[in-house]
Amino acid sequence: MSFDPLVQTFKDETLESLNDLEVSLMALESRPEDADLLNAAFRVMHTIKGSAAMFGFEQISDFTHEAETVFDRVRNHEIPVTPHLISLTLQAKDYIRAIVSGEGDAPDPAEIMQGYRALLGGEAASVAPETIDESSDEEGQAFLIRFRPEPNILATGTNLLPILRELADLGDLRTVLRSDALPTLADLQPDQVYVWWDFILTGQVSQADVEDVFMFVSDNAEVQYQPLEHVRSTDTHLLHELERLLISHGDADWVNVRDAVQSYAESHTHGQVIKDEAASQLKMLSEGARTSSIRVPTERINKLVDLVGELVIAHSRLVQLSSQSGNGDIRQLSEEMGRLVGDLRDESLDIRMVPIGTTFSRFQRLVRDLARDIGRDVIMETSGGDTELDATLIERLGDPLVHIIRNAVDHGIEPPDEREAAGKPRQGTIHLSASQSGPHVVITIQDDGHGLDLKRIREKAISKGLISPDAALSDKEAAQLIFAAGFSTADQVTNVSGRGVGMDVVRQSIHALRGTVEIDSELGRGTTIHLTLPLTLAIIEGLLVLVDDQEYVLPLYSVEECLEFQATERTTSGAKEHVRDVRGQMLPMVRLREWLKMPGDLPDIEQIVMTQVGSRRAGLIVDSVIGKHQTVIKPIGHIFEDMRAFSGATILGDGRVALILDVSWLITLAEEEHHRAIQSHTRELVVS
Amino acid sequence: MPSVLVVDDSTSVRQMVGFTLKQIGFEPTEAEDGAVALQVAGSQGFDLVITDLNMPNLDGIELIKALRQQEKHKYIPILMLTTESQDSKKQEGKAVGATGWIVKPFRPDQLQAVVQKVMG
Amino acid sequence: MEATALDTTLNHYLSFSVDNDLYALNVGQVREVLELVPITKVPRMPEFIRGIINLRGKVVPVIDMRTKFGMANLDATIDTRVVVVESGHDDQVMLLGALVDSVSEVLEIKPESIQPAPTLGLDLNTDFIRGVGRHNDDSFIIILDIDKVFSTAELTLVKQAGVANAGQPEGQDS
Repeated sequence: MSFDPLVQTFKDETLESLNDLEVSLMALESRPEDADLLNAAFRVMHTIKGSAAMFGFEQISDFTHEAETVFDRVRNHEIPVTPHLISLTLQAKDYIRAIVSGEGDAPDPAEIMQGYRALLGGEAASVAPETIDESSDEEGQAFLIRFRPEPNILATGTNLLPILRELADLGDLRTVLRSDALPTLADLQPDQVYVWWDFILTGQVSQADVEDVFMFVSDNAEVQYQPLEHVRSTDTHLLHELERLLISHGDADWVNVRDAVQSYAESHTHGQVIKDEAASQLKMLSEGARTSSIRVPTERINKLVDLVGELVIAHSRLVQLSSQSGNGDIRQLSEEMGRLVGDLRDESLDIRMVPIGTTFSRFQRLVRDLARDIGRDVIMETSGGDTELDATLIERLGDPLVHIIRNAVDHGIEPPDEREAAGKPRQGTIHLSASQSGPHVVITIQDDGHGLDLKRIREKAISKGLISPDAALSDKEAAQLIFAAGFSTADQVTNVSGRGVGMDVVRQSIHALRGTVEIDSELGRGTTIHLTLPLTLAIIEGLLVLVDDQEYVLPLYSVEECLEFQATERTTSGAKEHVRDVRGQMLPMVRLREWLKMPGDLPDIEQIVMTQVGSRRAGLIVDSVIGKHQTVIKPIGHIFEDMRAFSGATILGDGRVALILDVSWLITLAEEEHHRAIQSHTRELVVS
Repeated sequence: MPSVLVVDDSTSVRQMVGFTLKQIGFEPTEAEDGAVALQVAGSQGFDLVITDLNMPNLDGIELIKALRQQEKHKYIPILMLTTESQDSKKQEGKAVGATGWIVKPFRPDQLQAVVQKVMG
Repeated sequence: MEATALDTTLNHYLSFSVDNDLYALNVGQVREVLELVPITKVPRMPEFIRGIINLRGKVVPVIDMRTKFGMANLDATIDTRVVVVESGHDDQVMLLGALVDSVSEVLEIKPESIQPAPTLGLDLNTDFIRGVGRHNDDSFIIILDIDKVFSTAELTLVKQAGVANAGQPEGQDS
């Protein structure tokens, strides 16, 4: 390599900068505070120090190191510009010039450096030591390595393959690719890295060698090393076993993987024959790791559930065709398929079931932090964490629950002093619980705070024009007012949960999940919010009913029984049935035909479907009940999303669409009709 | 032939880096400060950028930031020339998207090794 | 360019008739054309919403164009079709079915031969008319902008109908 022209350039350049330096130094005598001059001086020292060694002038590099440090401090105003400093630097300049040009007398460098060191407080400025590579064990070393780049690492211009190759060049490398985090093609972003690797590297390698490979990426990746003692590159069988263990024990948690591999390696390198027991135990460990769980992306499970849904629909078509065909064999086969499809449906929906406990524990932290921020003392208790819900459901419950809990901490629990004055313990409690009730999950959030002030709520509602001043609302109805949009009785907007605008959004979110929200409160004692949610969002058992010529579906889990309703039993006071005595209980009713505004005469015999949601019950009058139907729930569409009466649609066996009725809403409808009827009846009585 | 943009206010350093990388098959282009570098990078695409951090006009950190905004230079390796006393600058550089660094003073073979490391 | 924006790079239009008038939609917005399939009525909705249909497992709402354009309803014939279109509203792509009397051919109408909609002489709100094209030198064809046919205002009506059903299940007739 011919460097000479480059060295010449360096010389020329340096001599020129030294001239500039002289000029700057002279100017600094009269303007010692001039930042530009200081920077210029620093830069000269910095440049010379950086490049001198590259062109064969190592001694200048060391020399200028002190000068550079001093000037860095000077420009940061840590060391003042003094005539002494200037003359010292002029001498330094002379030294450098002499060495670089090879002409003239060089002043004593040692003296000059002393002078600088004195300015620095006598500390010897450190010069970077040459990184000496600790040579490795002669027999070679084995390492377990994890390299997990962060998804965005490509934005640093990092090229992953050279890193892997560099690692492979160090010795014998066994690679296990982890691809669990790969999303579907639709969600895949090509500039993100979704995979990572676990390696076993053996060879004449030191930890420093390995660290060197990942030198540039250690900030943008998780890099872990674990030396595997006594494992030599010649232990091919053991290495093979370790590789298999790695493959089966793919855990995102490094500690687990590390411990598993290490313990396996340790027990196999004694050089002794391991007793059968111990060996088989370890084998079980690795196999246990293999069979206990598999990580599957949620996307894949959702896709599976969708496919099962389609299968259910296709099967119901088969059922229809097979009954029309009159062929006994086909009918039998169709029935058998029905059982299989039913089982498949149950199993696949089950896969998505996840205990709600993990979501609960999230909230412990939330409550603690929230309470601390606003000066309350609150703890959260949970129960029923092992209750399982559909994973998608849990996901979508997160936000509403956070809102409710926030409200409880912020608006529910009183400050400790107030509580004490009321004879309560200073610490408030929020109790979060989940339990399964038939096909529903009930989640309650109970606090022992000051409860809802129904009087104030009523007043507020009146002042906001939500209800008329003389409206007679039951306590339960008044409590429901807090779910109205724009309602808030909080006197000030707190940072924590903002206005009470959260509650109407909460209700909407719960309704979107086909669930219901109920609220119970006692002034001074506390408030309890009940969320009732269907266990699954996807496929349910339905009851097919007929109104006029249209089929509708009712979720079977809300249906208690069906009763015949003869024409003769209808009340003579008009077609609207508001209430019926069922075994001593007066139940509100609604005739779907009327509500759906279907024309035509009523059939002679109708059916009353007794439905129940939570503690609320009502009778829905339909023309006839057709039978059970495997209902795959399809969304009705964006433009219908505010239709509360229908929670979705489903495809019938003949390909037509049937709407799924929202029982909870219909019960409310029946109750309100009933309420209205009583009111008008009472008025009639009063008037007459 | 892969192209490299060498940015440093010292002529000798620029020439030395360019020369060294030519030996391993690069086509170097020089720029004496960040502003010029940005201009050049605007009209031409590079496979590698090596830049000093302390420069007048536009300094190295700002240059790296700006380069990462350009579509064609979003994913290329960018190496910083640092001195060992500049650890915080190095971190700053990494934070705005630099790939790696070379510590001055360096020998030609050390420079080549680092370039191999990031380019494969 | 989003698929739902009126794709002006395509000069082909699907023509169809509603009450003997000829209309056209840019093919870029038309998904498919179906023969009349059973429509499930969704109760208590504005008249122009005919109901919902099953499109290979997807539930799609159907809008009656006759009602939409203020014409009297007629029974379906063998020529009646449902034109499935993609309509973009508030950044969401929706599938909608448009119930029409019959569907004719796909025409090429060059941008030059499209004139702006006349403001007089038509009973319709001309907001959703992109323009009027010449067809066969003797007849005119009205080119519709699907995104505006089902205007945000009308869909709000639909939403309100839904909300009305939700908020106050009324006992009286509305």
